[in-house]
Amino acid sequence: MADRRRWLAGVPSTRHAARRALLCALVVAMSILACDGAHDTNRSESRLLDEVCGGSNCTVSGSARRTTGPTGDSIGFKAGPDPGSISIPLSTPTGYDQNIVEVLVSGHGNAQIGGVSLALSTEPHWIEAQTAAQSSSSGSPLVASVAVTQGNDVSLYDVRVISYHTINCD
Amino acid sequence: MAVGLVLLDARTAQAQAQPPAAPVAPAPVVETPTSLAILSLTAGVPLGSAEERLLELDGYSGARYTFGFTYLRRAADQLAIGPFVSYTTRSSSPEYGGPDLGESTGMGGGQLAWMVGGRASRYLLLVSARAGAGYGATGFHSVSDGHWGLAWGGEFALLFPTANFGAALGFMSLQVPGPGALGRDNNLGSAYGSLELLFDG
Repeated sequence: MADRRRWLAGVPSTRHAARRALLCALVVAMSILACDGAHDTNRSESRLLDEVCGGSNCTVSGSARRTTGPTGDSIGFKAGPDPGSISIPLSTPTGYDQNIVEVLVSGHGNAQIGGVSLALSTEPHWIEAQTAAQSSSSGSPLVASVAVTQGNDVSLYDVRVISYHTINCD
Repeated sequence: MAVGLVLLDARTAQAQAQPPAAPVAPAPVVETPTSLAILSLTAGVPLGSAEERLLELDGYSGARYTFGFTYLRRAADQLAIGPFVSYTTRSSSPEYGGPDLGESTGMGGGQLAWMVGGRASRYLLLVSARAGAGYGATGFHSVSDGHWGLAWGGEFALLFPTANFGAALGFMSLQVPGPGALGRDNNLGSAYGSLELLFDG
């Protein structure tokens, strides 16, 4: 009753003051968390591999060969079990602070993906092939490269580029 | 004259001594329809397969829609048998853009149904098994590269013959080899719910 009288008189009660403080703390905490982790993200289209390798941009060497992909009218690549490599140049999205190239692959043994030796799974999964930071004016060239040594094999189904633009919290 | 009366009495007595004829049991009424024609419109989720998981990783998913026709003829009191045909289509647009995934599948075969009910009961339950063959094609840019496979499935349908309407739940499996060189084992079937338009005879 006393709280109601004080509220009617425009005087905040202790309970109201506590609620307001809690709300302010929550807003501040959310702002800090948002600035700490938030990125503006862009992802390339599905079947980027079909678009990029429709011409003669993509190169293979050794046992690597271009085939049809997950459907009869799409593009894929295979390499192995003899040594071979696949190189797919990608255009760099502009206006982002960081670009990550990922490849959708499966296989047996190990593969050099983006120059790093990684164990392959027989189930297809996305693997990071390159992380490139870029300035606002020019970016590093993006390349998805996959290679296998003797006794390993890899199937490449698709590539994608995920771009991040960090939100300025200042 | 006396001889004649004696003979008449003897015939009457003989007739009275005969047991009454047993009442003829009425023929059992078969309520289930003689024939059924069913048109169905189905929406279903794809049955899991290695190809489906690969396509999901690449950004593709979505429902399959089927138009089907079934004709059943009663083979016994509660059993019916007949052919079915269906056409299934699917179009999936990836979340971040890119070409749509298209699918076209045709299936046909035989259906064996256990029936309960009929017009007198105002409902008809059908528990069916289906088997046959199917042909399905998949593609991003054109629906091509088709494959044949064995089709099989089952269905539970609740139909209302007086309203010529019903609904069903079921599944159909059509296992086919993976499309393309890198395609994986595929299943063009689905688990579905359907609306049915029926005509019974």
